[in-house]
Amino acid sequence: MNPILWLLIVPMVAALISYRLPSRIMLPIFILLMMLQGAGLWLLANALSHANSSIPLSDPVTFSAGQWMAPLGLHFVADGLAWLMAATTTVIGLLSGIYAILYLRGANQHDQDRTPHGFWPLFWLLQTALNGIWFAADLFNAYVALEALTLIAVSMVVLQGSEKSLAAGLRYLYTGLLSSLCVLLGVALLYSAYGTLELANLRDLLQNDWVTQTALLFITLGLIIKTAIVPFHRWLPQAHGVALAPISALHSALVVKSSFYILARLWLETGSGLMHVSLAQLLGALGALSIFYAGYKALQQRDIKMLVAYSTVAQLGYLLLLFPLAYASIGTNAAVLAWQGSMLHVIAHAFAKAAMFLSISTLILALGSKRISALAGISTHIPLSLFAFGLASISLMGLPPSGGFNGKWLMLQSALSTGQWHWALVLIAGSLLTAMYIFKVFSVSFDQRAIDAGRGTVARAPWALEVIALILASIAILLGFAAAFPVELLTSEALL
Amino acid sequence: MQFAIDITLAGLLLVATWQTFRATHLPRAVVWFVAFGLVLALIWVRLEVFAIALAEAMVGAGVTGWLMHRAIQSLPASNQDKTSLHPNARWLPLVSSIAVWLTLMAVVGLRPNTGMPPSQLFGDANLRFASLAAWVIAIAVFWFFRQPHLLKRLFALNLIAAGVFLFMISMARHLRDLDTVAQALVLTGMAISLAATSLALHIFTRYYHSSRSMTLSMAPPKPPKSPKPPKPPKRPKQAKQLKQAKAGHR
Repeated sequence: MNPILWLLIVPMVAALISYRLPSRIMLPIFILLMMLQGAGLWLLANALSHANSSIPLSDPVTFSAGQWMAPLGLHFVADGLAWLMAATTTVIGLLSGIYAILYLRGANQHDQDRTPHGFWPLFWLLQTALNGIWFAADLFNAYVALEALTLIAVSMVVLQGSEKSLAAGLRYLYTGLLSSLCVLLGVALLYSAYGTLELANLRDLLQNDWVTQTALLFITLGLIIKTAIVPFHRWLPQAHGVALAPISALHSALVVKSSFYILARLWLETGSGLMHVSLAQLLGALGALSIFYAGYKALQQRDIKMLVAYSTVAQLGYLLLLFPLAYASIGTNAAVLAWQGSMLHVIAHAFAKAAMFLSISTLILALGSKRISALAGISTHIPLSLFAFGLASISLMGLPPSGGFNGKWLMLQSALSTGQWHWALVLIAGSLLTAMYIFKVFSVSFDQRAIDAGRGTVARAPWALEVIALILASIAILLGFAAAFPVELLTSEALL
Repeated sequence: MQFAIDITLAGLLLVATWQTFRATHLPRAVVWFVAFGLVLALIWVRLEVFAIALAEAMVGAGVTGWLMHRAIQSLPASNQDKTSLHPNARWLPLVSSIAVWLTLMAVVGLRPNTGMPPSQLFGDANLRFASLAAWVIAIAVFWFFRQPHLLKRLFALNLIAAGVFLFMISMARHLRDLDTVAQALVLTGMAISLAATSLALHIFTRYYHSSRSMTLSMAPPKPPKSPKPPKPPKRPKQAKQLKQAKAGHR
């Protein structure tokens, strides 16, 4: 069986199976299904590394549904980057899924099962849609998967049914639909101009003319709205702030990255060299605006989940720096550095942010309050979760050794070697701002007076929840030591 | 003759678009929305894409209109009229809709590989409908940003989608021979847009029942200007109202 098909079918079947599973057997079945998905990844890695090439997993694997050829049939392709994203999706899905099972079961044995109706089918459909985006070989498939992802993500946000979550879900849905229509308009223009939407074909066909530029501009606008870049970010903090912990983790870690993934592939692999320098600099400026504005907003938050949600917006801003960095130096090593750096940042941030949301939620569960001031003196009582939060923030701030540091370091090198000092300054100042809002949390939780006063005495947090967050944070750190493997996977030939 | 038919269809479509947003009574807006779908179905017939015409009449006008109607019927009768809520600021809707209109018209006008002067722009039926699509999209974008009312904004999203499909098919017909793929893409897009609309209506209904607000502003809803005080949000009473509203409607 084709491994790509495997990775799309397994979560889809899992969505059906887990519709009405009793919560007692949920955990073993969930782990079994995730192992099946892991097996798919292993098969895919084997299929990818058949070629006798120096770069691992560089031989793309394709899959066409029912032998229908493009453009009418469904067409998927996997390469090193897609594999890496699918692996990240699976690992984060596995850990946050186990977290969700334990978290929703309730802190105590006699608590009611709090799993909202429909959580598990949506969870698995999210995995399907994400895999569909990573492997999309065709812009229309990417559009369909992205739209499905939006609908699933919105349904997950409104699962709790509180007024706040419904309002956040509606805002998310309306923004998502408008941006999808932007993407669709661009896709429609490209189709009417070229008669194909397959990315590999478009790569040879794309002309630098007016219609193409307009089409790509519409797609870019739609995708940066979906990536929550600053003037269009308003839907994100609320949606990620009110959702259940495992859902926030999945959304911040993976869902918002999917639109950036398509954007990066579109401009740097398919339409390589088509972006005007001023547009690249504009995208970079929007990224810088996100870093500073959302960082500033994060500093002002009193609700800890909102702080983490705003920090997601700020970290997404770094991703857009890829465009000015890569476009200033296309065809040289600096472009490859920018590409590797930003993709490494995507993955490191995914692990770090998932760890952060999960550790924060454990703290909230133990404290019963979302306010940062409630964390006073917590360090002596729930040290493990706070440690996970700390490890994740090392990666988020870009301190060595961590995946976040490696990503930012590669981008910094690219900025310096292309002589774009202003982006290097943005990278460094952004890290300082991140450190400021992270230390706001630590200064409260290590408050010596509060500890002496005996505050922060709380119900014990479930250890399994703490350990899961710690594993995720450790992966973000380990990416700093073992960056060679992912970076090799990310060597894109299109940029050289 | 052909030209006269096209102009009539275009005029009807624009009237339906505009009236969907201008109608003060929500059920009436739904009627205009369905009328829009039916006129669009005729345009699809005119463009010789019969599968899309059928789907538009059934799904675009029929099912979507019915879903909208059902959602509106679940609102208390006093709230079905309040469509003229305080509008948003003027500059964002105007700027975005003019920008979209200019871009799309420029694409229609500056299409590649033709030496046709702009005066002949309306000589080609496909280009006529492409520019009609640009108008529909621009009007719908304007109202999407102008109106805070969630249902009206949902109408706007649906009309933008319909405009995008019309633009796609007519440009594809103009630039190359129309193939099945473009039709398949539009049919997929219509299915997705139906799914999105029903999800939006579902969330909207739940949101309305918990917040009594038809907009996203989190401020408590202002008391209506009618002499009656706002009804307390009790389920049984509301069901009664619903029945009355339905009876009155019939």
